[in-house]
Amino acid sequence: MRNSVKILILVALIVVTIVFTLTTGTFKMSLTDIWALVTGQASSKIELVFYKFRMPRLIITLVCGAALALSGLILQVVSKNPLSDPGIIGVNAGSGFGVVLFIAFVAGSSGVNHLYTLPLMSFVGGLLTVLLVFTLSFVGGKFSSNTFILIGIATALGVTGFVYVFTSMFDDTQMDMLNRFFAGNIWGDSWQFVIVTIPYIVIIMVITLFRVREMSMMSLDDDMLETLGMNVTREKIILIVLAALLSSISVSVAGSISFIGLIAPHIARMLFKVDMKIIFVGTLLIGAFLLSFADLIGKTVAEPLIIPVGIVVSLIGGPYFLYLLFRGKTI
Amino acid sequence: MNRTYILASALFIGVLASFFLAMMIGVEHYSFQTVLNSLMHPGADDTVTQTLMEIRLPRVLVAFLVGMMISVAGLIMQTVTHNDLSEPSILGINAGANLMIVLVVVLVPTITFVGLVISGFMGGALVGIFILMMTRYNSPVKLVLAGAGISLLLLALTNFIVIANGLGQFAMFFTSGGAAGQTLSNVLMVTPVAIVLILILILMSRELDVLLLSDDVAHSIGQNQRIYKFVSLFIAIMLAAISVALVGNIIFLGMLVPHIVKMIVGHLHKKALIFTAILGGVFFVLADMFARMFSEMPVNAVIAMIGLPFFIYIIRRRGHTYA
Repeated sequence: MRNSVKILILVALIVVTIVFTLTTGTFKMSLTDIWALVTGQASSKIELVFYKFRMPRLIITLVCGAALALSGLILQVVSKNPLSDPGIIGVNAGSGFGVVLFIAFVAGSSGVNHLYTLPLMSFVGGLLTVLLVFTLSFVGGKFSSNTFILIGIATALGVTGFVYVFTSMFDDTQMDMLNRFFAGNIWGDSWQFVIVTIPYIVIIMVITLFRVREMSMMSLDDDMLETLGMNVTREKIILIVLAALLSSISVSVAGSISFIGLIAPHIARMLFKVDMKIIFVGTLLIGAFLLSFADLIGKTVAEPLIIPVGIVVSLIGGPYFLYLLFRGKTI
Repeated sequence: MNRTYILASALFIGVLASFFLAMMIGVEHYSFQTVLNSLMHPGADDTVTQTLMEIRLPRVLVAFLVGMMISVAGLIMQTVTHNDLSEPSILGINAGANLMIVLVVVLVPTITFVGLVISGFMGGALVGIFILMMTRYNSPVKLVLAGAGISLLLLALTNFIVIANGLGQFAMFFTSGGAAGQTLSNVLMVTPVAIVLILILILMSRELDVLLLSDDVAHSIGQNQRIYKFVSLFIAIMLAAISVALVGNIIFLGMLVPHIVKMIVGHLHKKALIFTAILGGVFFVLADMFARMFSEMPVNAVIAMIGLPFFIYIIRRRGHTYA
């Protein structure tokens, strides 16, 4: 199959998911309602549900899915390890720590508008954790990717231990809030969050796009790249900082979500083989599709119970991960 | 005097000291005299003795027992997987036990402690099978990644069950970990099992030593590797699962203690096992004591404070061998 056809199929899948996402849920809408919206003749109630609730959530899932997937692709390319994922190396745990600090110290104090404080703290927590792991991964002045992954996993474990330092003073609602974060619940699903996060994510994606050439060369041996004249350590630093930004922004509004960054680049590589530019685009599309699809599944499959999207993603992504492990020598 | 005897007596003193310290220090502090008095007359009718015997003593004993079990489990897993970083929580065995326990509690709310242990074992064993299959890759990074991935998946499943059934507070206990709230009867039930399991491992120590060699060498010596790998991993998983049922998911301990022991007494299992068991117990008793001193901080946070830097140090120092 030609690459353009594959891309078209992916886009079609995303469109179908979008349509289903917009029409299903507690408040049912039909396709004629959607059409009425397009032509501007819909009732105010439908307009409210559509613009105030469904649209922002949809945009968040699409963009954050793409961002997490891209972050995973970068990490996999840089570490030359196809099992890397931002969630595995500590972004989620760090963000969780930020959330705990928020619940413990900020949420209680009244009188201030905390709308952005929570995602901000979560973002800072995630970013600091990755950067810390990253700084620790320089052995003898050289960045070592395997060290990065191992330290990342250990830090994720350790930070999770610290998360529970403050939980002993939490009541049930606070505990519930934290559990929801770790289950991966999209909480930033209003326009304010779309406005403060999406532009940054898009800008970082564009910056990353300019480094596609370096990314595609990373599959070569480090020594060989040095001989060819690339400053490998510098390129790795730039790419990892980009990945850290992408994933911590996404996690701060979408909650703790793992596996998207693992499976989306994988499927993209399977579909598009070697050309990094097309893999890049494919990864974005697959990531966007996976997260919005998982959100759709989460809200429809066990109605009226809404399964957090992070759990759905793990239930889809986990078995795929196991399959990758067992497929054998190629990993 | 022989180095081993010096070490052994140092550990013995360590056990006694940590026991009394842990008995003395906590939310309420007691003097050495009080602790000794209560231990001499456990039936005495004052509140201090009752507190010490019914709350503090079971807790200290649980901590010692669990520290022993987790550390030994870690040592065995490191041997079997040929991987210095293996440990029940890193390999995902704790997450497996955790999931199964939560699942069983949902299905059978009236389950007994023994039931919890058995279900925890089944969950851990399932993950263990995966891990055994993974060992053929012999790459620490892949093994640890596999464990982390499996843990994430199992945690998601656990979370799903927890959210769907409103078990938040109950599951909290397993994720945060802690030695509080165990009864003396549970401790007394588990103790013989743990000791027997560790004794079996000590009896197998020569065979375990052979496992340290590369597979080819072991094969040419004529040992049936599979059986010993299977049996020792089976026991290690049992130890880990019992610990999860007692104190929840404890991190790093199973990696930390065997590492320190191997640095001091070497890799041969007979010594390493005994020292690991005792040092693990002492370590966890002290960690639990610190947790108590800082207004019931989760014991995992205490261990992580020591364990995480140590882990990072090991990876950085031996990074090239893991690459």
